[in-house]
Amino acid sequence: MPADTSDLSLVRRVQRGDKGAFDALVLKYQHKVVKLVMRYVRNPAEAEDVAQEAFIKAYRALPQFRGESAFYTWLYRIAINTAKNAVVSRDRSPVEFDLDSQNTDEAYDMQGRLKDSETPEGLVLTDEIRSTVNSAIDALPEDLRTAIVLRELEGLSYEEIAAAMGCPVGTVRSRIFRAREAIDRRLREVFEGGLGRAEELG
Amino acid sequence: MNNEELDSQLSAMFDDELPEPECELLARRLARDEGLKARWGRYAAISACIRMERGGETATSVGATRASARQTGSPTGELRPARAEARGPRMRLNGDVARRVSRMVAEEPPLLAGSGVRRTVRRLAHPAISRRWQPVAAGAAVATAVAASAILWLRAGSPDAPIVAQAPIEQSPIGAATANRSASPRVAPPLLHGVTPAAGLARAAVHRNAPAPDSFVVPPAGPASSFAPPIELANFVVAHSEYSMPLVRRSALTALVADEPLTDDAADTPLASSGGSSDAAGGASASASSAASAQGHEAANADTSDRSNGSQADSPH
Repeated sequence: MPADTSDLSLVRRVQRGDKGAFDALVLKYQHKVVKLVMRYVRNPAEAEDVAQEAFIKAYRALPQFRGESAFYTWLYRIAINTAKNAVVSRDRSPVEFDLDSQNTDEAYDMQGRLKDSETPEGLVLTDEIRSTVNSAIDALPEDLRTAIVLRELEGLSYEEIAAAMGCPVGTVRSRIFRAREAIDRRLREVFEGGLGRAEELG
Repeated sequence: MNNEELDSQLSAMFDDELPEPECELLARRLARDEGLKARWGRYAAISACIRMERGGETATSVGATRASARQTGSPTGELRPARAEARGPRMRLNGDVARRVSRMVAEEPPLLAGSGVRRTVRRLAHPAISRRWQPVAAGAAVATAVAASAILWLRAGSPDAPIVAQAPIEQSPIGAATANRSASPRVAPPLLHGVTPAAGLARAAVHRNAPAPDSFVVPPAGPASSFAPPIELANFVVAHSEYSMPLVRRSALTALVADEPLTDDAADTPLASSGGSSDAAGGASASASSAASAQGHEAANADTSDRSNGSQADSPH
């Protein structure tokens, strides 16, 4: 199966004028783009602004996207260029750090700086999401947990996971789906409750 | 299709593991179904959360995890999650970027096929760009209108202009009678002098439509030429020439002579319209006399105008 099939299906719909399909693309890649942009700008709020700008640029440039490369590769290039331009225009030097860095001191230092720029409700919600996802994963049966983690962390295909776990591809698909459903059930409560709190605060 | 099957397909689509035909159908539904879209967004949040929380330990342990999974099929203890307080900067996961982008995209014009054209139209349709180009566009429109008016005015005054308009004369009995009266096949040459391409094409079309060469006639002189001065004006200029400056008087007289309406004799001379040679002047004077004789048919008008001109000549201004 060719990679990027779902993205291309959505991209084609956007190119035909379906804006709702672009929402799906943004939902899928917003976290990755924000994480990428945070290598260049100082704080998450600014990173979200830059990510938003990058998505709008991507939307306007989508008619020129021919599918010769993967959509996310193309999107990431736009995001990096947008972030660099933002840094130059604000006359700031880029802050280089790796979110997955093993350097604990650097990570804690950055965390301390980021804490000041976050809104309280955003931090509470984020912490709640993180702890919910972690506890939900912990509660999963072993086969479901292995399947979802190999998929999300390693980026293995269903076929590779099936070979690794010694089961059919259909079973892998089913396990990953059931793992997501179990986490999503818990997460839905947080989102609905969190969004409700945010509206009350707003 | 029940909801579970639909959600299963959505999960597979999120992983790029859904066959393309199903993917097309589900993409269409995903774009419209807000509930499905929200679930899709939560799948993305789960994915981001797992990567953010466990990326550090996975970088070192994933190889062992995969090996263990292959050997036992039960990697118990290999993938214990790192705690939330352990590592990594905080990141909001509440989908705020998606909502903001969705609002902004809703205000954007829809994308159309034909990207280059669409892009140009969109850029020009942007309010700031549109405001910037408005004065330029207005200036260009005014300049175009002036140029078009000038061209139309010049073409209306040129000797070529009446040809197309009077082409039907060729087919009329009057035109045939005029042709018989003149009985001369050489009537076209003056009209070929100094023609514009458009007039040439029009004339070529007339020639193609002409049934026979001898039926092509020059229209009779008179009001056809818009530059031909009325007799009253000619008389006025002659009568008042002593009160005008020599240079102006000469210019006026030259213009009168040069723009004399075409008669048969004048039309035979290729340079008559240019007014640049003595032959042309001679032809013009001859045409002036013939024009005067032609106007003699309108006795009442001519007498009246002569009298009025005489009275005008007697009374200096």
